Amino acid sequence: MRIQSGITEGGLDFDTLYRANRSVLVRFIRLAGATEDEADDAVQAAFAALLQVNYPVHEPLAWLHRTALNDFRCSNPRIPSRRRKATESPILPWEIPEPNTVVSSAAEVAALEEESHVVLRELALLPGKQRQVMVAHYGGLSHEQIADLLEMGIDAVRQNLSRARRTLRKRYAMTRKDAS
Amino acid sequence: MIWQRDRRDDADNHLDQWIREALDAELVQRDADFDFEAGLADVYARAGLGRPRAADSPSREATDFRSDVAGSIDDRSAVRVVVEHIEMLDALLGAVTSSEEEVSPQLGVMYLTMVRQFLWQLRVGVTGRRLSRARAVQLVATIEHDLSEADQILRAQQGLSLQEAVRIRIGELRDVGGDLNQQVRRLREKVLSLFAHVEDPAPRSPIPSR
Repeated sequence: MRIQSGITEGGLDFDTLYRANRSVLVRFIRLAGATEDEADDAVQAAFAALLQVNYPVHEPLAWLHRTALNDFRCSNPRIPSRRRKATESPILPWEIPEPNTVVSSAAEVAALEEESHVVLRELALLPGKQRQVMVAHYGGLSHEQIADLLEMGIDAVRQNLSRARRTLRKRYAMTRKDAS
Repeated sequence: MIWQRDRRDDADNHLDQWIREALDAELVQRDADFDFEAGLADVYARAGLGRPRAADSPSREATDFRSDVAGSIDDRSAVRVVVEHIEMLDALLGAVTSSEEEVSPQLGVMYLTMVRQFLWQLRVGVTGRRLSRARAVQLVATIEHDLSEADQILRAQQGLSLQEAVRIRIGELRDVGGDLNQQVRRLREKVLSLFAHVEDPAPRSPIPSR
């Protein structure tokens, strides 16, 4: 979890919070079905909103996730209103985030990029709720925070995590088999 | 039964490690490609706040922009020149949109806010090298169009051009090297110069279309 570095005794070190968590949030919104621009925009808006709130935010990472997700849902006409809680369909292959291009050319970096892309692809192909639960889980949110964020019970969070893990475990095994 | 559970725990640990390593690697790349100074500047601008000076960042104040445009480019990269031009335009528009004086009708402000967001997208795309030439040109064209719309609204509702609104707000900084239209044209030239020696650095990441 990257959030701890963003909190100081004197309160919120905003710049540190931003640097530490901006990419986590963009990825979360991206895998909620947003384009890269939409995700960027929703996350920027959420951080700006955090600067403007006049009450203490005790769990800023969860707050930012919720605010960014709400921003994306509200501003995204592609998601019909009754389904704005989550994009249920898998993300189309050409919308799956690609690894970025500005990296050194070392072979191990290329391998890591490939591995990273495989994982992102597998996550993107999960059903919407499972995908969002998984990404939020690896983004550092607790089960309670995920339940609150995605408006579901804690049992449902556990169930979605379990199902997603089951699917990914199979794909992981297949990946290992292919690699060997 | 215990043996089965242990084996499953072990598999879960491997799975966790596989996912975490890949996601962490992707975050490192995302961070490396992102211009955090531009991102923070955009966040503070959206919140209508000034960036605290205590931040040990290389970002400059809006009032520095005159030298940015007029200065020599010998010691700067082409990307930096574009970024500085974007900062200058953003500072000008920020002065108007945050004005307490009644020079900014609501719809005009909406267009100016959109222009600032497109400027930010352009900046992030240029610095992150994940912008195609076509997308860059499209962004500049959209910026030009939205500025023109804001100008027309201001003229219709306030009898004031956008350029005059800028001057009212930053009267002490009139020497901005031409009006906003000229500045956008210069921005386009500078952006195009980034692609002068490249056929089209099409990124591997998808370019969202709006």
